[in-house]
Amino acid sequence: MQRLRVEYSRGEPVQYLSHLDMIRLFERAIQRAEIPIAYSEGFNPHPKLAFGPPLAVGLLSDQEFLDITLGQTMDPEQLCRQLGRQMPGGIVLKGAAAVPDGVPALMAVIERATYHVRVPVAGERLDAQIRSFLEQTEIRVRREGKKGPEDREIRSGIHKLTGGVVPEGIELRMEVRNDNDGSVRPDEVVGAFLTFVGMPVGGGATVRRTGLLARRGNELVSPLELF
Amino acid sequence: MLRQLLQEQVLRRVTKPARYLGTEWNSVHKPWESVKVRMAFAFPDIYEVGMSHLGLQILYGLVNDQEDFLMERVFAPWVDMEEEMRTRGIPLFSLESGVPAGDFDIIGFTLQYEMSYTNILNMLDLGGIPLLAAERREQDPLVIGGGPCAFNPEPLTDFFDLFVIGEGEEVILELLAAVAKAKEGGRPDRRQLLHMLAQIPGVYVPSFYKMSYLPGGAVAGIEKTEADAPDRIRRRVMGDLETSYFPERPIVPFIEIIHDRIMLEVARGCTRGCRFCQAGVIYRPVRERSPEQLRSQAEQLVKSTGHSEISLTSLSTADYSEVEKLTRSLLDRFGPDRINVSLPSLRVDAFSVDLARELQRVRKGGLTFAPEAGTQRLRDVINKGVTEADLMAAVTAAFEAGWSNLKLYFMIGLPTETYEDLDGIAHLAREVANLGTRIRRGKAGRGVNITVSTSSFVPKPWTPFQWEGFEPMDSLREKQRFLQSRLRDKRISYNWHEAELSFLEAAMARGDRRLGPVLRAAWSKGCKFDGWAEHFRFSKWAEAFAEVGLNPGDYAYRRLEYDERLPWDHIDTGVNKSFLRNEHQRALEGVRTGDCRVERCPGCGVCSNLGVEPVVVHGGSDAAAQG
Repeated sequence: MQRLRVEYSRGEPVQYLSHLDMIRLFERAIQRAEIPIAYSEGFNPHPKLAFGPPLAVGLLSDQEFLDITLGQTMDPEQLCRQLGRQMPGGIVLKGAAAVPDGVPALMAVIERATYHVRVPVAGERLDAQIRSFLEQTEIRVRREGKKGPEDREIRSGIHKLTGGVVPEGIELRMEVRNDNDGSVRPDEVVGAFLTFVGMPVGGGATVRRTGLLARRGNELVSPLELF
Repeated sequence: MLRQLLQEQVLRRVTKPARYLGTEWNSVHKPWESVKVRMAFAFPDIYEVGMSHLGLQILYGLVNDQEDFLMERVFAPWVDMEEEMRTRGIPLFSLESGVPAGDFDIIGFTLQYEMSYTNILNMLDLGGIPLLAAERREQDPLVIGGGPCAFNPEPLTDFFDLFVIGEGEEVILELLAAVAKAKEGGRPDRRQLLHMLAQIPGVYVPSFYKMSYLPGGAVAGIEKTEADAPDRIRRRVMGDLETSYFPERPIVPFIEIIHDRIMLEVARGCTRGCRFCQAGVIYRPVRERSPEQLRSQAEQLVKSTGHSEISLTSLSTADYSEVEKLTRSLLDRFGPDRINVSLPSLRVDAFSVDLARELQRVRKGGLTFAPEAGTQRLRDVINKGVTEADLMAAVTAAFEAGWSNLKLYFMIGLPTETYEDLDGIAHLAREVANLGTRIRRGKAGRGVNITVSTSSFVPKPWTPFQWEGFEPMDSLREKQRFLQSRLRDKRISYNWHEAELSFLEAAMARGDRRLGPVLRAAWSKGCKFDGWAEHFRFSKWAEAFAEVGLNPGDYAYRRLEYDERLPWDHIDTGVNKSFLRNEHQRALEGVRTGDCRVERCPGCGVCSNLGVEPVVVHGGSDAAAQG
């Protein structure tokens, strides 16, 4: 058994796939690429794939991770090449590395995600606005949950927020909580910010996940730097 | 530009945006300018339904394998997407190039079921293409149709330039080549082009024929108005599946579709001769593929798709002569790679269950059997060669193998049906439940669960029952209530299809050209996705009929006379009308007709009329005898 951690990015137009679609896509690509993947035990064995935190429908991403457990060893570069040839347009495998035994699963160590969000609104004095936005001790948003709308506090999950003016409008760059117990969604931060500064909240934002951060002792590092 | 608009503004606002991407694995993106003729394959339902259709994959592969042609896909957008498109003025577009449907040379609609007709009109309208063939301009695409409903295309003739009768892979390249030639030779006008295309066998140009009607609704006559149009349009059929085109690289959808697996077509056609079944007639004769070819196709498909399930498809897969050998060899080959093999439907016998047991190591889900009628008498009438003993053997095998959820499928409103036959349904259901309780007693798992499902018999053209009427809706509802009361048992649940939908299906199935305006009226009242319970509005349809001054009952309920002209008499499936009439007579006498695979030829006429013969791979009689 060998575990390989694959890094990939997701662009247009496959940004519109759901997490389940992504799982299916990788399972089929692995099958086509004849990667010697390992299967779980039991009556209904399934291929051993472990993804990082799901990427919502519509989001682009520069950096996603996936652990593939193999039944026999394989050179990570070779896997990348072989699997890369089976990827539909928009998904680029950026690299792979063998994961030593004992390294925890992606979902167990990833704590934060970083996003760049471009919003087509005119903005100025962003720095000052962001500063006062972050001075709030709590920021409440409503999220449509499975059991109806829920009220959530997101201020404590916003670790960094900066912004700037770009040709399409403004860009907000954030580092937010993203772990098993709860995540702050980039659109919630943007919505709350726009409401706070009195700008219209409409659709049309482009959201790009730029990275994922995992815990290593006292620091947060890329999931590739854990081993 | 359209793609960019979708990408940046539209797709983020709709449900399941991945329906509209068009970049799935194995999708074909040819440079628009690199080909001579461009055709859109249009499926008048949503992506998940259309992508589950094997015919699409076959024609898509075949056309795109040609240097001079391209084919792209068009589906009915779901209602939220349609709203976005209409608001923004986005026309119906092809998935691959994001090109407006109206820019193609040809739009080919597949006509799989009658209740998709309003979606066709809606799609033409969304594409900015004039609904009426007569109003199309030179730059508009040819709108063509094919598939099972093309065997009585009359209700659709207002909207179509031509229909292809029979197997599309036989005709499509001839059609595209003719259009290419016409374009090269300085594009003749529409009418000239239609004259050229009408010379291709199997092509029906409805505007070259005139219908007249008798008072009371029957057809008086079908007259051709153009000397060079054929008197009857004969179905195109492939002599042999073995040498036919096979798509090696089918598209692999991103999202989950209805049939999300490899479809390995083991045979076309069916020899059972059920008297209600249209597919059993229009796909004659049976043509099986050899196990060797199927194994190599499975190999290619697994490699090119990465699917983890192979479904052996055909009208009646358990009848495939080498089904046991084939499934066993596929299991041996692909089992270690964790690829499952499955059967889409089971015959009602122990043999089929044994096969299913072998295929499914884990008994998830249930098994479905279709005895179709509740008594032996009625099963003989419909020529469903199933006995109560067959059914009991099948369900015994299923319960013993560990299944506890079984579904039994019946039709109500069949010709000659009485309440005794309905009692028969209840009796069978209870017998099955009792048997299950006995066998499953003390075994692991939950209790026995039998679902009885009834649909309403719809008389279809080209079947021995084409002359029969649809049972009045009130009487169907009465029968449904009766069954409901007779099936009160906590182990049995009963569900039924709404009579209204079947009633309209019956009206359309045997309809004529006078229904064109009704379809149009129904569509303009907002009817679409009629096959979807949440969208079906019977009252709108009733209004549409009333507006046009027609009574749907005149189409659905009327028993037709043997000697009257039928709206589809100018279509020729190769099956003799005299055979169908004879079969109808035998039905009324309760006399069975044998399976032409194992018994003597019942003389339907297809083989001699079309110059084909059944293709059955070796070992045929053995396998059938086991059934």
